[in-house]
Formats: sequence, structure tokens, C-alpha cells
Amino acid sequence: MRCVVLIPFLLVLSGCSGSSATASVDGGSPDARPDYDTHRVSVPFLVDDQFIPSGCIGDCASSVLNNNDCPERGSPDAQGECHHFVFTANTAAGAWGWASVLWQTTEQNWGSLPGRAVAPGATGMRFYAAGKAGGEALDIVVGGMIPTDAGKACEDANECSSGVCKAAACAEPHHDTLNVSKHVELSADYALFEIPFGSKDYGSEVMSGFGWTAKMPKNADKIEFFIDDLRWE
Amino acid sequence: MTRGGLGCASVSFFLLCSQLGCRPEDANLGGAWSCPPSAAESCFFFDSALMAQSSLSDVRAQFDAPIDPDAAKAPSVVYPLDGTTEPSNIYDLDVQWRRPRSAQKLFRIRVESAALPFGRYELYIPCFPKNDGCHYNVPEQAWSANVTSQLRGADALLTVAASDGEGGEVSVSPAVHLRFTYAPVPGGLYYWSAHPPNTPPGTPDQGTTYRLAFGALRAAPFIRPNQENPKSCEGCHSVSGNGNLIAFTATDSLDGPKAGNFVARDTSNPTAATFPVSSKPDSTMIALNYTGTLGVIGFDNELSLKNLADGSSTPIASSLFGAEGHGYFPDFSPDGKHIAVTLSDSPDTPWAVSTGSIATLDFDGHAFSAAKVLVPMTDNEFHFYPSWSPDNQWIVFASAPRGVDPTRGCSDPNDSKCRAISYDQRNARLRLVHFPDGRVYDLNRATQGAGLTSTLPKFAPLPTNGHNQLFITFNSKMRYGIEVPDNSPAQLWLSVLDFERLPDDPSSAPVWLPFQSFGQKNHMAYWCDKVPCRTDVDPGLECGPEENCVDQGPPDGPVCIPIAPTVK
Repeated sequence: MRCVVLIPFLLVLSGCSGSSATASVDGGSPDARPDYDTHRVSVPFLVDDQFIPSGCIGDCASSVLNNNDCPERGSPDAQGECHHFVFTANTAAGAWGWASVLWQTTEQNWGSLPGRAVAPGATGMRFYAAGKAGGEALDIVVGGMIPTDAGKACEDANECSSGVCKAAACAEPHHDTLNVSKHVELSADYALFEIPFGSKDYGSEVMSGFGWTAKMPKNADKIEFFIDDLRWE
Repeated sequence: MTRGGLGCASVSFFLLCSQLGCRPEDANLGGAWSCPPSAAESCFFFDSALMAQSSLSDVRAQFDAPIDPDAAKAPSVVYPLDGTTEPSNIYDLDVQWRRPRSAQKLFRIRVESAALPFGRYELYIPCFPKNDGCHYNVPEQAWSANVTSQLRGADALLTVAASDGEGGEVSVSPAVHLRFTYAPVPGGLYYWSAHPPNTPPGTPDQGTTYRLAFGALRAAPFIRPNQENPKSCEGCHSVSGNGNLIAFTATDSLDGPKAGNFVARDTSNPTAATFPVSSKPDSTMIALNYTGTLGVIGFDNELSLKNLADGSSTPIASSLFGAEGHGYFPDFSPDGKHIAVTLSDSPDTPWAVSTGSIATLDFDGHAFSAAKVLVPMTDNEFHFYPSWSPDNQWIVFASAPRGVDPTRGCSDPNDSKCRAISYDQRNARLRLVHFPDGRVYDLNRATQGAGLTSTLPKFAPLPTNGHNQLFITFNSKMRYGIEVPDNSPAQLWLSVLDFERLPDDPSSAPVWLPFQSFGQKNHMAYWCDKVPCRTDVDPGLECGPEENCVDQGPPDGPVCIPIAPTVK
């Protein structure tokens, strides 16, 4: 089974960098073709347009329900998908007691395929979130998919995040450069959460546009919450 | 190019406007336009990303710059389609466009109509990139309050204008012509989906029927494999016009025998059997009458009349089907006095033929007359999949060219296995015929051209205050803007038939039905008057996720009502 090691989340709460990487692109000679790289995601963008919540770790696979059943949107102009998550306590022996969902470029892309190339200029991301009861705690991560198994001994490609086992060692996988995180506590009403990137660069590819981790509190049977309007800006 | 002289890109665009002296806000399209400050919410909407950056008047002022006459730089709207009629109860509209220049960062969606209180409604937004364009999902409440509820029966123009956000020239798309329905689309919809959303590629078709009260933002799975369906796969289904009964063909594999077992269920309690399922296959395609008391069932190239009170069947004599000898794809008229069929002597599967004429049989409640051909097959074209209008006066159907289909791997025109067939027919086109006159009208706006697999049309119920408008849904592989490329799995679309347009094409360009997931393969949207609440589930689950169960009193009882956006 392929395993990914996420570098511990680094809390970055610096203020707005103020950087403006707005490219001064001249249209050039007019013709019918776009004058930009259609394979590169321009900023701002909706996370759900470029990534899918398919990276499931911890107790996620057996205990996390993900659908779009939000009783209301996070804001009147919410875009993209509204996600309803229910993380149910897993009492089975060997359960982790935590779950995490990462938004990936395609299902199960832990580094075997390229990430999204994002145009320069994004200074942070933001989203709306609410808890079903209020008080739910989440660790939010943007980027952070940084496997550390390059060079590890392997016998089969499935043992490697890169999906490539060459000369008995795992090849270098695609990985995030960005790794910012933030601990948030939700209320029963939607609140806006902002995660500035500060001075952090996101490099040539982004593997995960957003993710959350939740630890099941003692004596709790579930954590239920809503996340909406995920944007990089 | 004026943009070159505007200096540093990091200068806020709204400052540039004041430096350059912005033109009046009505400059783009000419004519004075004013919106009182007290009514600003009725005229303008700003995405929150812009509100964080700048004052709203400064954002608007960007579009007072001169218009760039270069058409190559203009955005092009790819959804909604030109010539669409927008139902007043489809609230979830995703406007999609292509932008030709990366410098275009700020956009204005403008709807113009004399029927709007202030003549225009504008949304100011950034580009949310997707594939090769931008899109914006218009906020449901604002759109409903300020556009759809204001434009009942009215025409409008929609444009997308692009600005660099730095005071440069503005590029404006060609206008898309929209019309809005007089009345909401009524009733409920039960459609067949090959498999759940987000299923990995290559997953075999399994078949689940989804349902919703039209106007709800999402549909809910209703007949699921090994749950409401006693078997693991579901073939064709049908729903009674009153919405009380659903019938379907249950099977163990859609890749195996081309038939299954007839199953009928009350829509209020679909887990409970109404009568025993036959031990042998007995069903393929099904038609139910309005009340759900009778069914016409296709099986083994024969049609039978089934009494749904006791499950008994009576074969319909093949002699009634003329020289072809067989009738396929039956559909009851809502008044129960007729059925429409496809006459064919060349079946391919129970759901496909390679020859066909549209015919009707009269029904007196017990027996059928001989078939009367309404739309005869020609040397060049065959006809299939008829569906009656709710006023019993029209039949919508599909036509396609006859002959060898090169995609089937052989070329003998005399071999039926080499000929074009009706199912998923790439070159199918939608048409309408008057009953009983036989006048045929092409629904070209709905079809959107050949090669898009626009087929299996079904009429929606009769709208109240519909002003001579009726609605059809069909499945098609046409592209959905920038979101879904063409020739992806078939999805459901809706077209409005405006009979005041006759004798011209009465159809509108179609609307993509927004309760679908991209990539989901959806077919056969059967309509009915109402969606009863389920009684076989826990409280709170009687209806879909965007519906409430409301007791309407006699005769309907508890029914699912879509939750509409709150309109101020």
C-alpha cells in the first residue's frame, strides 16, 4: 500500500505579503487564439475547479462521508461546491482516531502525476466553514503534499509515491512546494477563514489545493461540518 | 493599444480610472442609464473577491473605458446558448465564456431587458478559470430576485465584457439572446443514470433511477441496485403521469440478456413489492398510463397490456402493427385514449431499431385499434422514441439517417448489424408532430446540429399559466460550455417549446439541467405531475436534499416541494 508522509503543518500567520505578481502581458497581434497558457491556472481560482477531495488518510476511508448536502451556502456569492463532511468515530482496533482529506489534482495522485501549474500572484486562500454543533476543530493545510520516499528501497512501483521504482529505489515524486497550515475552530454559523501564504512560494506545481485534518475528541461519536467557497486569490 | 501607456501593473486599477477620467457608466452600449443608489442591489452584484479589493463604484468604472473594436479580443459566451429560453425555476446558472487575453482579469456579465426594473442587471466578477475559459455560477438568490422573477415571458440580451482592471479598453462579447418562461417547469422527474457520480472510468453500467421535484438543486437516488431494486441492475423505467407509480426492468447485468423482470413500486414506498416478480424475464421497455393502473410492456419483440392491479398480461396482436409486425418504445397519451409506438421490422436490441415509423393505436380501455402511421419512414430516414405532450396534441420524437453506420465495424447495408440504430444515435435530431394531423416540425434549436446524440425526448407536465409553452427534456452529448466537452457521456437538457413560433421551429436552444454531476451518464427523464414523499425512510429523508415534504391535503397528500431561493 502506498503511503505518503506529510511534512508537519507549518503555521503561517503573517500578514498580507503585498506582493503583486500581476504579469504585464501584452496581447500581441490579435488573432482568435488565447494569448496565455491554457494549461496554467490563473488566479483567482476555485479550488473545486482544479482539485478534488479524493486524498483520504487516517480513518477517512471508512469513516468520512463527503457530500454536498449543505443546508445553506457559506455566503450569498459562494462559488464552487459546498462540502458536507461527517467524520464518524471509528472504534475498530487499529483505528487512527483522526482523518484527513486532501484536494488532489486527480484521484490518488500522491505524487505520481504532475500537479497544477498555477500562475504567480496568489497571496492566500480563503473559505467559509461552519460546524454542525459548533466547536469542531480542524487543521487546515494548503499544499503540504511532500512525500519523503525518494530513494527509499522498493520492489514494486506501488510502494512509491512517484509510482516509479527504478533500480530498487523510489524515484523522486511530484510534490508541493507550498506548505501552510492553520488551526481553526468552527462555530455553528458560517465564518470566513483566510490563510495567507505570506512569503511562501508555491513553486511550479501544486499537488493539493486544500485539505483538512480532524482529530476525534474523546467520547465524541462524530465531527460534522461544512466547507464552502474555497478560493485561491 | 492604450494599455501600454498605463504604467506599472501594480498600480490599483481604480486609481487609474480616476487618473484617466472615466467615461459615464452608460458609455458601452449607449443611451442614458441610471440606477438609483437606493436600488443598487437590483442593478449590481459584486463577487466578494472584488469587494475586498476596491470600492464598488471603482470596479464599475473600469467598464466606462472605450470599447476595443477588435473582435478577436472579445470574450465569447459559450453558456448559456444563444436562443435559450430559461425556465424561471432553474436557479443554478453557470455563465461560461472564453477569454482570449490573459490580461483580461475583470469581467462584467450584463443582462439587458426592457422588462427589468432598471433595464439592466450586472454582475462584476473575476475570472474563475476552468479548462479553456472562465465561469461564474450566478448567486441563486440575487439571480432569482433580480432577473428570473422579473423577466417572466420576456426577452433579454446577455453579454460578457472584459477589462484589464487597469483602465484599458473594454472588450465586449457578442450578445446571447435569452428568453424567460412565463411559468415554472412543473412536476417531478425520474431519470436513469448509469452509475453514481464520481465513479472511476470503466465502471460497468449498473443503473440507478434518480428523482427530484423540478426546481430542486439536486436529485436523490431513488431506485438503487439491491435496495429498492431487488436485483443488481436496472434497465428501462417508466413513471405514471400522476406520479404515484414507477415501473422498471430489473436484471442482474446490463451486459447480459437484453431483458429482465418487470417490477412496479409505489413511489411513496418503493421498497415494498406491489405484486410478485416473475421468475422468468418478461420486460424491456415500459409505458404506464396516467393513473398507473395499466402498462404496455415490451418483451421479445412483442408488446403486452399489463393490468397493474393483478399483474396479468394480454399480448397485443402483431397483426395490429401492420407490415412491420412489431411495435417498440410505447408511450401512453395522458388521456389514456392512445399509445404511440415505433413500428419496425428491424430491431437491434429491445431499446434500439434500425428502421422505424411513428404510429398511434387507439385504446378503449380494454383493446387497441390497428396502428395508424403518423410519421412514415422514408428511404433516407427512420423515426423512433415517441413521447406524448401533456395536452395530448403533440408527439415529440427523434429521427436519424438510415444506412450503414461505419462505427459498427461492417459495411453490408443489408445486414441489420451494420446499420445505424436508434439508441445513442449520434445523428439523431429532435422533431415534433401534431396528433392527429401529422404536421411535422423540426426542433433544430433544441437539437443544436447533427452529431450530438440529441435523443430520447420526453414531455414535461402541462404548466399553469404557461402561455402556450411546453417543456421537453432529452439526453444529448452536446458540450456544456467549458465544463463538459462534446461527446462525453449523455446528459439531460431541457428545451422550451413556444407554440407562438409556429410554423417556425418552436423550440429554444436547450438548458443543461444543473442537478447532474459532470460525467454522469443520464438517460430517459420521465416526468410526472408530483413527487410523493417516501414513507419507507427515516423522518427527514422523505424527499431529496433540496426539497421539503409538505402535506397538500387531498387528493395529492404529502408531496416533495423544491426549496426555492429566498427572494427578497
